[in-house]
Amino acid sequence: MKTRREPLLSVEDLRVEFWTRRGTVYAVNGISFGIAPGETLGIVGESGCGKSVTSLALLGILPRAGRVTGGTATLEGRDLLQLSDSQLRRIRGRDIAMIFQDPMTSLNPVLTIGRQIREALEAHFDLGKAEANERVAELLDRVGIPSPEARLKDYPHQFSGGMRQRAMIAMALACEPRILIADEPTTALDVTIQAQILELLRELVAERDAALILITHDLGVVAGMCERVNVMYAGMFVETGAAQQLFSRPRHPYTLGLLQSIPRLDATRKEALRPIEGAPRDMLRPPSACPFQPRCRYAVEESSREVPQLREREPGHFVACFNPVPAEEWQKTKAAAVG
Amino acid sequence: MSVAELEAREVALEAPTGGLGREALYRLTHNPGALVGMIILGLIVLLAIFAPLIAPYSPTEQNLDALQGGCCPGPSAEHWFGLDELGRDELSRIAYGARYSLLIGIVSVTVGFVLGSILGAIAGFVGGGVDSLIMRIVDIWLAIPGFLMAIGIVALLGPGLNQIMIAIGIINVPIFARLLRGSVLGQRENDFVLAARSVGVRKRAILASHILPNAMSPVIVTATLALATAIIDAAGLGFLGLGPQDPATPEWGTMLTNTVRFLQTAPHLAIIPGLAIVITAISINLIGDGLREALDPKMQSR
Repeated sequence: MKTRREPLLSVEDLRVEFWTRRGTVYAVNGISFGIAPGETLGIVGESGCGKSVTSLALLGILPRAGRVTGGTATLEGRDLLQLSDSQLRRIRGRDIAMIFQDPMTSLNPVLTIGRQIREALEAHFDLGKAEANERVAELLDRVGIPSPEARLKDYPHQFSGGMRQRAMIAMALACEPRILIADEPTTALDVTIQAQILELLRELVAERDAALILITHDLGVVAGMCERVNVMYAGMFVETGAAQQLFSRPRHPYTLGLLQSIPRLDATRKEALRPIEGAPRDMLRPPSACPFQPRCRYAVEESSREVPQLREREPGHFVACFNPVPAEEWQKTKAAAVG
Repeated sequence: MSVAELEAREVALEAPTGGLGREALYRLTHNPGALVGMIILGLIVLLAIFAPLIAPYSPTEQNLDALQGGCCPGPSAEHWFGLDELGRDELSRIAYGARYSLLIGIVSVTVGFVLGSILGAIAGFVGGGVDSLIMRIVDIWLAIPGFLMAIGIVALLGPGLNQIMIAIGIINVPIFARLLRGSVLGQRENDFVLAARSVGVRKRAILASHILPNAMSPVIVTATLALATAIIDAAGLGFLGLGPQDPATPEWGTMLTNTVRFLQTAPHLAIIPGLAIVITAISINLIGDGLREALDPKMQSR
């Protein structure tokens, strides 16, 4: 295990709200994390729990209805959340870049791949066209696109899904950002391509000593890629810890529920999946109790009165729960399933 | 063979084509309707350009002697389309008239397209109060029937060719403004706009290279269709006597007006300019429909 380094980006108590016709949506309710160079941090959670909103808020590209209502995000002594749009623009791509979920819609159909990556370069550096094209070809080559000089004249529809995601990664890497946010980078891809893309991301992060924030709902991806994992529910982190720790001894009922709802290859056929009952919390009210309480088998009386805070249960393993799951619970269910 | 190799091969098989423009052109020229439209319109354009060579007579030369047998002689070997009420050769007048109709159509649509696009792009991209203000003005503008408004504007400015072009241009402005605004709004929420922003591309560059090119295709289609409408409107204004005041001007709409009195004795004087207007409008509409299909973004991935 690596020794923890000084964080590159540290987010404290980030809060994001959306103003909609139905009322205020409390999308992110005070999350904190730090990430150091070379580190891969996972953020896991179901759809609508605020994972993507967190990354859009850091880059200052929230949709119009979204507002950051509190918190700080410090990158080299500067609070990203206080910067003006033009200051942030210089940071986007240069210091922090993002890879989006769907490579089918994240590339402009009417511009060539080369032009779109060149734009990212031109936004930050004064380059001649030939020089920029050369750099784009290098980038495409690095992300594993064959004959890059020829391919940069292609349009997105001439690329397959996996190739487009590679092109998206090349675009995000164009200005060598130190922090890369990958928002569900493999969700839209075939399983075989997923593995390639993840391997590429892993290599790139190692090679540049960059920090990677991996946002996903796929626990398998997180387990394989990340050192630390944050489990997000209803805009809050409910459990934080080293990946190994968190997946072998989950302490929050939600994390346990997620693990139990994944089909297992080694389970006996009779063993049914155990879904998490109930629906995700309605985000139209500010949190006033444990957000998971209505769906929780472990809920105690306190859960419906107070919002649980993250507390260190084991060294480096934080859980926001009044009645954490016994540390051995998951191992027991696993053993029972294999039976 | 590894997945990457397979993928590379599959991609190589998708023949690298030229730009998207060339693909759209290919689809346009392989659409039978659009092809017919382009051929007819091409002939009309040639007729307009080479009117002095094609027209057997001057469009303004009167030959009152030929009218002695009564008004008005129909088609004959010397005068294919017959003579009008002042003994002018109808074919020559149609040929020269094509110049006026095309000119009015193109100029007025350009006026509407440019002004409307500027308003629409500002409204769509800036949003907020500016958007509301522009769109409320456009709503009021659209609430007035276009042709009535054109009559009003020409009445205000006085009849004439330039006034007709201005009037038709002005009634086209809100149509383009509304269309481009909607199109820009739709494109602004695209993932690729977000992706471009996330790597720090400037707002102006995003508008120019990501939003407008994608937002333009419905506007281009509408511009083509508006061209046909503009020609019909111009003829209508000409028919109402709001066109060129010199009665010798061979404008198709004006030509129709003068023939009303002779409908029973010389119906060809109404039929021929009428047909000219209809054929022009139909050919442009065919091209517009073809363009709509050719520029459909859903067609781009094959």
